[in-house]
Amino acid sequence: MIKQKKNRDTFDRREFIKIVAAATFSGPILLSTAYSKSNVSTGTKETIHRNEQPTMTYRKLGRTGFLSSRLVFGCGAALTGGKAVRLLQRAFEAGINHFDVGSDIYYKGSERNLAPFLKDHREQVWVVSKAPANVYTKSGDSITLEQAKSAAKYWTGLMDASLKDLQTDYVDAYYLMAVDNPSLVRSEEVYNAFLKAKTAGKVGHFGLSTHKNAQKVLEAAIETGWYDLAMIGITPAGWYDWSTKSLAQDTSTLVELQGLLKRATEAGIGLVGMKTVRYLAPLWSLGKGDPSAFDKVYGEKLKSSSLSPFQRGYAYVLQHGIDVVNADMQNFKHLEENIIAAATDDRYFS
Amino acid sequence: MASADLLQRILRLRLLALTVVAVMAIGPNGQIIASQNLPVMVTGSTPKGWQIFDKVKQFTPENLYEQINGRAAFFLSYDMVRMTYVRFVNSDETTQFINLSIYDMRTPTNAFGVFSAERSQGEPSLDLGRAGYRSDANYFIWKGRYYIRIISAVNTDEFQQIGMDLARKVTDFLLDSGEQVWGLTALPLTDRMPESVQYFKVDAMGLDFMRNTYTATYRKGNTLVTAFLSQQDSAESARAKVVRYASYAKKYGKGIERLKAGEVELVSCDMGGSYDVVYQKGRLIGGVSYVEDRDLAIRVALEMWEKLRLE
Repeated sequence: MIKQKKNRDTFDRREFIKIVAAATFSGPILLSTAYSKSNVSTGTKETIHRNEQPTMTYRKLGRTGFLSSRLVFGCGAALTGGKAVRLLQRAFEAGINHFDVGSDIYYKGSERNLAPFLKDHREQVWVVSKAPANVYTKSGDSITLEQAKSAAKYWTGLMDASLKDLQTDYVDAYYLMAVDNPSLVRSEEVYNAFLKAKTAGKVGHFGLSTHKNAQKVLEAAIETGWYDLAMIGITPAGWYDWSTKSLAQDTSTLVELQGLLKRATEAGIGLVGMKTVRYLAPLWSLGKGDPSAFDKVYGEKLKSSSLSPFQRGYAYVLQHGIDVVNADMQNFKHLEENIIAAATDDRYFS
Repeated sequence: MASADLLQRILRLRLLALTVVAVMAIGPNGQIIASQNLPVMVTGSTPKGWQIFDKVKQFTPENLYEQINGRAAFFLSYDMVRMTYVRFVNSDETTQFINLSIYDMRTPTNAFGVFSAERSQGEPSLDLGRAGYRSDANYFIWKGRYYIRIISAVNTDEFQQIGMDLARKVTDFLLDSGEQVWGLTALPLTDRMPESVQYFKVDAMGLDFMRNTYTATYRKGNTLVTAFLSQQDSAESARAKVVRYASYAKKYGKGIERLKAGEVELVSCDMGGSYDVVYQKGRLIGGVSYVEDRDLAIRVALEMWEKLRLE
């Protein structure tokens, strides 16, 4: 027989998140001020609204019009094997409305593990997936027409597979994944394949992700005028190069890149940061194990804050031209820290 | 034609000789040495009429990211030792490819971990290695300490056949120590769904404190229930994990109940719409998670507790 030993402790989960954020950062009034300022400044008649909560800040993503949570839930690695599935609901309750996943060919099982969550919340969230074009050339070489046609076919084939795995007939955006070759960015074959998929009602917006040769890739994307979203490997200290797990050689700092980022924004491209704090992570997590690596670019206010090195990195890029950041969150601890960083980034800058 | 056949025979004999050398090279470190020699074996597996694009490459934990990008962290979290990669291309058409990746995961448990975490349900299974399946013209196989992925450019009968032949060759030359994976036998078999066991080395169920944890799905009437089980160093350590679980449930859920049924102590966690029930048994911490029906969650947890054997 089962008998109850103790009284129940009751907690409201949403209230908990508010309490955590407020307790850490000088009280709820300050938080409310930050939220309302951010939301009002970005809202327009054309804006697409989804799942906005007072515990998150939002930014309009380029010409898409979507008012995205500044923290994007990176589902790719987190949902492989389904281990972080339970974080999705918590993220949703905290106001995250932008979920980024990747093709099964890359993040095996992640799209399938996201599907049940989407079944309940599809209309309330923005869903992006992505797939590589599988073109093997050096970054500086031009791809051939044959390669471009093959890339378009391969990429749209994976898009169809993504829709099937996500159990949806439409994603808000689909990215060309891990692009390092500007000639692929300029490929009319790939763009036309996207337009065909868009006409068929499978996808809303065209995007790319890049973390190698990213500056040239972004410049090419601006030049074409085709891209609505660009997910870029960027850190407070400048471009991140995934092929070396380091800052790109001779990179300008993020401050020095403001002109380029502004041009991207003016071209209607919503900028999504990624790999922002990977450099700080331990070696086993593909970082360099140096949490203080970006301190040299921070002002005193940020440096002396109670934020962790990871939170500082996110807060900094969100204040320097990056609309939203995509974070790989594999447990509740990561989620909690990142929510705080995204919700309070503006208070560490004059 | 005859000279081509002769050349092929000579090549096969050379590869056989190299294979013998490679197998003989297995020493006190066992398959680590074999893993280093895999390029020889892999080269010998090139499908007829195809060729190797560039060369066979090997990656260590330090540079795995160069090949598989952000997914590297997933394999490193399971202590990957070495990954051998080759891209086969059709001689006439370089966009027609088959990629072969062999991950040496140090132990069968780690290899099972990555295989099980990536496993797709409902795909045709293969009688290769300890377990495997085909998804379109792609093949995923676990054998001993190895996890094998074969990815094809397109899904055609031809690619399925070539992929299958390649899968056979690869599983033939990879060794299996036969070392058992604890969770596969520790989790009770009654009502357990086939191929549902998964092993998470870190962050099981999104919880940073749940390491070395197995999960499995059980059919209870019309309901599927996920159970979990982890073996700790000591009973004290297992007890401490239960305390942490309860803290997590208090923080993110709606409350906990401490229950007692005979000698069994349970913690029932109301997670808001679903229930987790956690228990300790000696060095084991186990339970069920994400069950909508509270009574069912408790009943299944009790059944599991009773069936667990202490070692």
